[in-house]
Amino acid sequence: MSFLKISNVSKSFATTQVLNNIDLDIAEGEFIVLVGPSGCGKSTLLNTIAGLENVTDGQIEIAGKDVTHTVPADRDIAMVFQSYALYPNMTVEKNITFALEMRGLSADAQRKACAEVAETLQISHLLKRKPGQLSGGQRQRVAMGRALVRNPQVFLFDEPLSNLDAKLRVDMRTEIKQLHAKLGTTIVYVTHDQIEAMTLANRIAVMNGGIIQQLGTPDDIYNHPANLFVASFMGSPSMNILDVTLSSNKSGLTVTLPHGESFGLNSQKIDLKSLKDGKVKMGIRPESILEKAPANSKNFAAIEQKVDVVEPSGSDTFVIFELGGETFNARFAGDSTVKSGDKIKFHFDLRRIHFFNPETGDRI
Amino acid sequence: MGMSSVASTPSTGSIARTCIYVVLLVFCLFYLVPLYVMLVNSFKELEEIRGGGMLNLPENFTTAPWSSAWSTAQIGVQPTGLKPYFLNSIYMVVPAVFLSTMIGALNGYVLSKWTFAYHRLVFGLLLFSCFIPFQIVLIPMARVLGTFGIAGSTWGLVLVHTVYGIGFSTLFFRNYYEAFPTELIKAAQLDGAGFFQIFRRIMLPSSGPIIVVCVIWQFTNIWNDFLFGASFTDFDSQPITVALNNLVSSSTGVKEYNVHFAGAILAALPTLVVYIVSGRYFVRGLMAGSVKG
Repeated sequence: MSFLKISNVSKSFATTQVLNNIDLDIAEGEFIVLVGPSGCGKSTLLNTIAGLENVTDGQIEIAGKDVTHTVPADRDIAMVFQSYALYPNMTVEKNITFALEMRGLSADAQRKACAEVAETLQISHLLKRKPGQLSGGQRQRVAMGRALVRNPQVFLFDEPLSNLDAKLRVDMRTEIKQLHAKLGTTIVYVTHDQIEAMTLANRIAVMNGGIIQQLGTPDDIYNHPANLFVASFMGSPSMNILDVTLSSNKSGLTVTLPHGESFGLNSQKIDLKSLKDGKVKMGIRPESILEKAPANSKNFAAIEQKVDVVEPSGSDTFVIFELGGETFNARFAGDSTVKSGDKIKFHFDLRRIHFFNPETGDRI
Repeated sequence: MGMSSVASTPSTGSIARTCIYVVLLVFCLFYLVPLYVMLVNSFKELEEIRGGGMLNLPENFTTAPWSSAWSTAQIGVQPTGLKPYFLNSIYMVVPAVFLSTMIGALNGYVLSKWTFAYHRLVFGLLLFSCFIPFQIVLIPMARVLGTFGIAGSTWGLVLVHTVYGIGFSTLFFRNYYEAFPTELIKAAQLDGAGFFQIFRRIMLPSSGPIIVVCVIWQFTNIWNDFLFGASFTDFDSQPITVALNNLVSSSTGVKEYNVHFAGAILAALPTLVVYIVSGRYFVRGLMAGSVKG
């Protein structure tokens, strides 16, 4: 039973179609992250859920109620904005209780609710201050407090962490996850940061061009990307992609690289009939290219190539090399001693190779 | 403060610097001399002024010209001084400034945050009203005031000045609100605030600097207006600018220059006060901290 149901939602501004027939069913208590590059429509989708933008077509239901044409205030939702959008002229306390005042709660009830929320977010000592006197992290907390105090059916987050510095962002990310575990309220969270999406979400909706490209668990999205876009958008560094040719013989499938080298696949079953001359795009993530592989393992193909650049990052060493005209990135261990100019064997984990239709981009 | 302001000034040679100060000083004197002449002569007796020496300080200091200008000088037929006309101006300027500022703020709010089809056209037309010369509207306006039955009254002038002020005040507020973060409006909508609640609780409290700018602008313009004051009033509702003219240009008797000077300063005083009192709010950024900082 879906709690937040988005059916056939489309949205156009003049001649530009921003959302194209979006369907999304979200269960109660779920943490959904909408992720995608800028201009993909994720914020517009969030705004239509909030009621800040009208849909051109389609329907939105919250808790079984059609809210497609309901004003934002009556949808029982709360939103945290990227800029926090704190009222500059009001104290922190007033910022938090403003919504309650608008809903006609007594001053006592307002104070009590505010105190509770301030306690949860550890901002009790800030209540008398104005937003201008707070640090970025504190403003972020106040913005969350303003959403929490309403005790809404759904929380909407619009890139709430992107104005924080790197360390604070990681801390707040953890706190948001804890908060969700504690409150169990449904959350729709927009971000362009795929790490945030992976770490926070129960399910991720990857968007591009006003369409949901894939909806699935972080594991699904990362390990079974539905198409080339999802494969290359999620993951950092992104997936290595290469045009290859597939052919089949008795022992299984053979992958032929552009420069003629080939290796056999024993674990993948692929229907080659739909492909033109067996041409496909092969994708492999940097961490699936290893420096050392178990001896005689059939799960690895060794490809010898010259190392172009070595980028140590402490925990990992990124090794960049060229293959078939594409730049490949391999993630080796942090203590790897590989140097640029070395000619070494890269071990491709055959169990973690993805194939995509070069015309449609869809996963094969 | 001293250190930093020195450090932030581009360094110039001492000759260039001397030139700058000399030029500034000359302009300063240029603007201050007329005020000085008016001030010293307003405290002299008439004989002393007739004796020449405009720039001298008064020999026999007297405040009689001031009290005369304020309460006993002959204006028109009555020896009332400028006092009743000063009050007329106050009764005219306060509501007119308040109304035009409020309407301008509301217009700016709508034209920047609640935009509708052709809102740019509407804004353009409102801007256009800033450029209509006063003289053109005299006759149509006289008809309108006549139709409303407020011709020759202070309220008539209030209406004229309010309508005339909307163009500029809308321009001020629309440009100010254009830079106002729209997310604040969205947040307030989600919080359940309506159109006017957002205006009163979120927009207006953050509009300090632009309200001051608008008030100074409107106050100065409306207070100093002569044409509308002379055209649309009868004798009891004349503003001080018209009364001052009547005081100075009366053709009977001796020209009491000291009284004229005192009257002119009296007429200019309110705009001066408004500027001195609220000028310092000009630069105060009340928006600090609403968005990322």
